[in-house]
Amino acid sequence: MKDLLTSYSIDIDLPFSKTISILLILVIGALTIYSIKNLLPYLTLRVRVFLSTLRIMAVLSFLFVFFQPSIIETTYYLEKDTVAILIDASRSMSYKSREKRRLDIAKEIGKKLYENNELNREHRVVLYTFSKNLHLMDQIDRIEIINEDSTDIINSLEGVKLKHQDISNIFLISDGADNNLLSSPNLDTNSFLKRYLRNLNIPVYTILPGSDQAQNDISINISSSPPVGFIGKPFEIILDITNNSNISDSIPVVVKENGTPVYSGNYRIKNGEKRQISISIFPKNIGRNVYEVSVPPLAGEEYTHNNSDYFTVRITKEIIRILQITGSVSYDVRFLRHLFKKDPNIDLVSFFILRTLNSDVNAPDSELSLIPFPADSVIRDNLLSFDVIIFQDFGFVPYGLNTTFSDINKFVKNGGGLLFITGNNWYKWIGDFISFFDECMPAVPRIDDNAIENIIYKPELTAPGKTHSVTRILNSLEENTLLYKNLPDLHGIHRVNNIKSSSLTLMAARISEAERAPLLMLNRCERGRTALVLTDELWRFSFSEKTPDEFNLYNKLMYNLIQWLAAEPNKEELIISQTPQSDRERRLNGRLTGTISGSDIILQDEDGTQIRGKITDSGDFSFDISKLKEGFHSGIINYQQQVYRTYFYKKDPDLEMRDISIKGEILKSIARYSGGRQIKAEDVEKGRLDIKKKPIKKIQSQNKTPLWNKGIFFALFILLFSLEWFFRRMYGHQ
Amino acid sequence: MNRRDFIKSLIILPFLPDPIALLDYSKFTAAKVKYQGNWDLRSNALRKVMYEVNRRTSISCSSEPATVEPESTSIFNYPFLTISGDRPLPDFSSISIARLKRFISKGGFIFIDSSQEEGDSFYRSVQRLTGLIIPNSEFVTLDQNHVIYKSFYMLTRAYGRLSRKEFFDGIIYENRVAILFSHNDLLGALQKDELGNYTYSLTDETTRRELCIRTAVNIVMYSLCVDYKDDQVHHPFFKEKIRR
Repeated sequence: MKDLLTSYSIDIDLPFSKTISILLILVIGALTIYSIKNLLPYLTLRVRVFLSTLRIMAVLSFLFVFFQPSIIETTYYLEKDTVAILIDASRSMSYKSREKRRLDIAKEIGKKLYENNELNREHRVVLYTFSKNLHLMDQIDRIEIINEDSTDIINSLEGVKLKHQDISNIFLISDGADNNLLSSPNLDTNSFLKRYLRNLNIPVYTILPGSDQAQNDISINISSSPPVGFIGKPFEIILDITNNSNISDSIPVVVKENGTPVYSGNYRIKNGEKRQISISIFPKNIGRNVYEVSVPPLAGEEYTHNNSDYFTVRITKEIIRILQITGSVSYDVRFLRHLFKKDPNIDLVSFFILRTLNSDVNAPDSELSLIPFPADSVIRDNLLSFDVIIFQDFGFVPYGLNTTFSDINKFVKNGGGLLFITGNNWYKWIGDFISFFDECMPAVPRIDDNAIENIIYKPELTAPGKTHSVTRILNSLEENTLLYKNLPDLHGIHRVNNIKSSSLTLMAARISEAERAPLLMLNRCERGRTALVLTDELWRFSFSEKTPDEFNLYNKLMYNLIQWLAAEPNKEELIISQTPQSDRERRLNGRLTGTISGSDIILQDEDGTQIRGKITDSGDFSFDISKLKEGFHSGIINYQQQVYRTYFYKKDPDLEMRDISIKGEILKSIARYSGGRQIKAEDVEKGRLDIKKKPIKKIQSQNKTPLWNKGIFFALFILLFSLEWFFRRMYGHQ
Repeated sequence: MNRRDFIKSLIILPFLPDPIALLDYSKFTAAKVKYQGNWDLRSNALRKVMYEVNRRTSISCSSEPATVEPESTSIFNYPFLTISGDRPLPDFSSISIARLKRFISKGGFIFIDSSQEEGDSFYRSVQRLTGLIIPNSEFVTLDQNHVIYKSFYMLTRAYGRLSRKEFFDGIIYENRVAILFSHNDLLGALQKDELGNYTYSLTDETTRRELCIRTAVNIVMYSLCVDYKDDQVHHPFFKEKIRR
């Protein structure tokens, strides 16, 4: 049985619109004042006051009738407003605080609130849990950790308001570890909360499920890292480190590049403090490097997944150093030199053999501009300072270099690039160096009398050449293939033997309908790369009637080849597109160029786990790495006979657990700006809630009683007008 | 060949490759530009140049120079063109101008040799032509310090049958001499008659003829090496040679 209450109010019915009614009142008022002012001056003050009062009363009674007043009698009862209890059940609430999970503490507090008699007597109490989304609950005991990837407090408050128009108060039991809007680095949290909570207009009472001090957890998060860096030059990264440990305030940080430590340092971060630190890293390797930044787990640290983070940087050479050694001077030599000489990113050192042992110069040395071939200073002493060596039509025997091929061998195997371009003379003077070809080059050029095929042919792309990064000048596969179809004819090609199974032929010469001879070949030799060009006529791609003015295929092709030989990351066959910013950490995506669509590709991690994938038309592939363990991986990608080392990181995009510290300050701000307050768990226990009441008035009935048409009011109206008329006449007025 | 084979050969003749293209491309071949007028005044001098280059340097040369017409796309088979004459050049067609413009922009080199003993009407006609090939260009004197005088032999001046001007003139395009002009009839000094004797006798015969050959070798070497001898690595050696 509801307690019924009654209230009264007066209502009027305007006969005209509001504006006209007001104008009417003003006119009547003005006329009344005018008539009072014009009362006869010889009358005594007493009489004048009497007459004025009578007139005002008459006018008021006129207005009273005119506006048709009524009395409204309302019968109503008061209904309870809604109070919501929001319990944070995100995964960070599974963290233990004083031997109890935060969620268990929150449930205990929530239960006390939910079952509080006074609260239930005055309000309707509803129960919700939330993580990223809001969930209605009917029993405290059923609340369990919600397996969602983040916590969103603002979304939850918004949700409650939408569901309950009559909500008067919210109890928010949370660790405040929001990882959506409230943790956004670009947001001024306080001013946002101030604005947002004013609009929400509901007092929020926040309760911490434990202490916001010392949770024995260290978390690390990469705040910024550059996409590209240069070998030998440091780059800077910025880390956020949160120390919620009561054990130590000296945090050791280790940075590993592809699994090898490249930096370590200690940082003083006070307990409960979050600090941003910047670190300079000297990259050691060229390529797409995976950097893991980690702090070792503390003794007894329960959650260690947030102790490491990773980023990737494409490390490249700022300048590519090329040594060009040619056995004879030709247009091929000239065009290649001209291309590299004008490029500011290439440091070219050329040595041209301008005369052979057979040359009859007909002059003493003093009349020649020739310099001795710097075999010692270049080949023997400074070889390792170059990134790529180009031998063009160069034989080793006449220059005493036939014994130094082991140096060149070492240069390649240590990561150098070697380009060998054939010509008319080199193979007559190759000597023992031919064994180098056998070991490292893609194939062994023939050195017999039939070494050169004297034919005119059209160079064409092979199937791997259509997608390979060296021969892929245009992004579109169709347009790229078309580009190569318009090339000028070439003359003469050097034949090869012993083609390596690991080599890749990108361009070939069409010898006959059925036969193709390799023209441009690539190979990897331990850490280095080699390329073999079996003609000295590629310059014709540049010097041709057919070469478009705006697009020089020769320049692009040779530049790509040099970049590939120098192991520049953007010309690698294998390009992994995994980035920490993406949510692709459960898949490893990439592109392998020089492949054939539909073929198998296999990823093998360091434990021997194999994951299979398929190559698409454009050379793309994708591996499902969800089953691999979290952290850094050094894997191998096998495609047919080719093997590519690759590094990647498996990290769940787990925003929720990156920082699990209790954010007391955020909860305090929410309470303050919403008009609520922060409540201690003990106060809840003692029932000291003291929250605002905003009961809902529910009307049961309403009666309207008109006053103006009551007889007594009408008689009064007539009486007043009569009296006013009578006395006015009596005192001599018209 | 029987009659049927002959007819067959006539049918397939248009589809055979350009005879010039059958030459060994990778060898250095200088080409003479054929124009309406006295274009082949030094008919066999280039053969001598190529012979000497082949003999003295590491450059492999064809045995015979080529002949090209500037209207033809075959100029793109030979990045080294020569134009010689002793009287004003005729006007080149617009197609020829366009081809030569493209030839230069793609990296070609033109050596122009004047055989004119008096007056400069040939030079002026060449200036008109080069102004059309490379607009706003002008010849500059390549003085003694230019790399062309030390591209193979150490020379102090530009030699030729005549001694009209001490140095070459050149038009610089993209940091290289793209068009080289000799005032001194260099090819005239290397021209031979049908019996194999030099057509023109020179004062101080042996030495001067040798210097002319060296000049020609340097030009060919420059066209292939461009500024190679300007590389830093060569400087100490040059200084030493000059000191001696």
